[in-house]
Amino acid sequence: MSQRKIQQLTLQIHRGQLHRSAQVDDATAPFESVVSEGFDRSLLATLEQLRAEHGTSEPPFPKFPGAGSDGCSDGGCGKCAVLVNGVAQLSCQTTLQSILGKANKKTAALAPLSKFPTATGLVVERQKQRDAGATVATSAAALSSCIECGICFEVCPNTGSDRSFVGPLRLVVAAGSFDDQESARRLSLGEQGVVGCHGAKNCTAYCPQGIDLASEIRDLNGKVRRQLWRSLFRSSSDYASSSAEPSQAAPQERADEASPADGGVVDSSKDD
Amino acid sequence: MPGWAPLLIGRLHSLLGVVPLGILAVVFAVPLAGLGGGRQAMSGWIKLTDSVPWLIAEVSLVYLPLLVHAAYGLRLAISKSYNLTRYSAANNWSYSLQRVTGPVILFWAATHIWLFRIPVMSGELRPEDSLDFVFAQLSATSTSGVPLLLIGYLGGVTALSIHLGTGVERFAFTWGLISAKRERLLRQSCIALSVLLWLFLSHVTLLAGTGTGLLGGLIVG
Repeated sequence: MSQRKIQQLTLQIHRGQLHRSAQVDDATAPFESVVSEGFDRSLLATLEQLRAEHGTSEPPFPKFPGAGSDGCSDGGCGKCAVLVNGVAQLSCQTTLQSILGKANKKTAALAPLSKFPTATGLVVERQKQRDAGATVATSAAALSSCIECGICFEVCPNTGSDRSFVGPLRLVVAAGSFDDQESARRLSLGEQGVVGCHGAKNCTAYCPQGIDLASEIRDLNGKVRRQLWRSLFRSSSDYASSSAEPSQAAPQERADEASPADGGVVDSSKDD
Repeated sequence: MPGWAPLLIGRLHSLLGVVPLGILAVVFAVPLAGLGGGRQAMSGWIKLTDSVPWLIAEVSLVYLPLLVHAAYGLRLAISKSYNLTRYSAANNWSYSLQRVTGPVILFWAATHIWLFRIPVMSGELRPEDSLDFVFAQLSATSTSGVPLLLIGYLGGVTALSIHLGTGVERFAFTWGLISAKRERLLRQSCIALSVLLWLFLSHVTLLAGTGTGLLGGLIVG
């Protein structure tokens, strides 16, 4: 008679800033819980159940994003993105079975997205994404289904708190306004812009909404090339007037530039 | 163009990789293709490369641009992070391989120039003797019988094939030269370029080091 193997998944939940303190004790060590049933549930649903069992304060149970009324639990809000064994995923769209794979026993380390400042537990501050997302609907049609989860920023090998590159989302937002807004052009052409993208295209490969961000960036590269060409080969008088553009811009455009929502003038280092 | 310097340097880096390597590939491919045809033809070509106009062209069109490309590329290879172990999509493989192969090629090219080009340029080695010298060096083995230089050369040509193929694709991306429709075709063409280049360069390297290439055949004496 064959005996059914018992499946077990140990969830090791990061405690965010507490875990980063110098001394790791019972209060700051990762919260651990063993799950042995309900593998078809989502990770988010499992976390919510664990929180119901262990309490809502921290410690003992770390806060996690997208919980309860804060999120949609349906892959539509992007708030519940976390790292599962180092890989960025939406916890509401990730089943325990998919983490377990073919193994019967496994440990899943849950951590906050690593390229954003951690607020607490698994929750991060995704200000950069919000800045960009504010103009998503109007500036780039390709981003109409963007949920601002932050995964494109997380999976890009060229982004990070120590790097100036603004990341794929803000670049695509700028691409949508490149022809109309000086601020978008300045962002794209500056050291935070397209020069930081080296075509790894992880943003496209791992976008949970299937948005082809890399294609938008490639098109932006074409616009940047044409802009460079025009600027390099036009007369010095044209260049002088171009240099004066920001100060001569229309009041509305200057107002746009002052807004943190245009994806073009906000110093990313401030977000960190 | 205030603040555009990083962008210009970045785009120049891309251009200074593809153009000189393209020149180098064509310049090397023609005589190397004749390697199986005999030493005499090869020695004739090496003699041609010893002329002053050739050396000027070689240094200004190939070495200097590649040196700039290598310096900036090395900075990129060191400063960029890699996340291939966590995100193993095909494009991330292509990106990571391109970054990793750069320093390998730099080391290999420096070794090649040091061993074989500088002795000819300095007059230490006669051009007509250089082919025998290359063959002897590549077929030399260590005390334990391992042809270290030949293995190193095979590693170098592999790195070069990957770097050039992925580099052409990335060049088209960063310069915005390709449409969405043709991107897939470009990817396939670049893979084909890498494979063909690797087959060809491995063949001539093995031919020079062992007398038998990948595709068979012996060097005619």
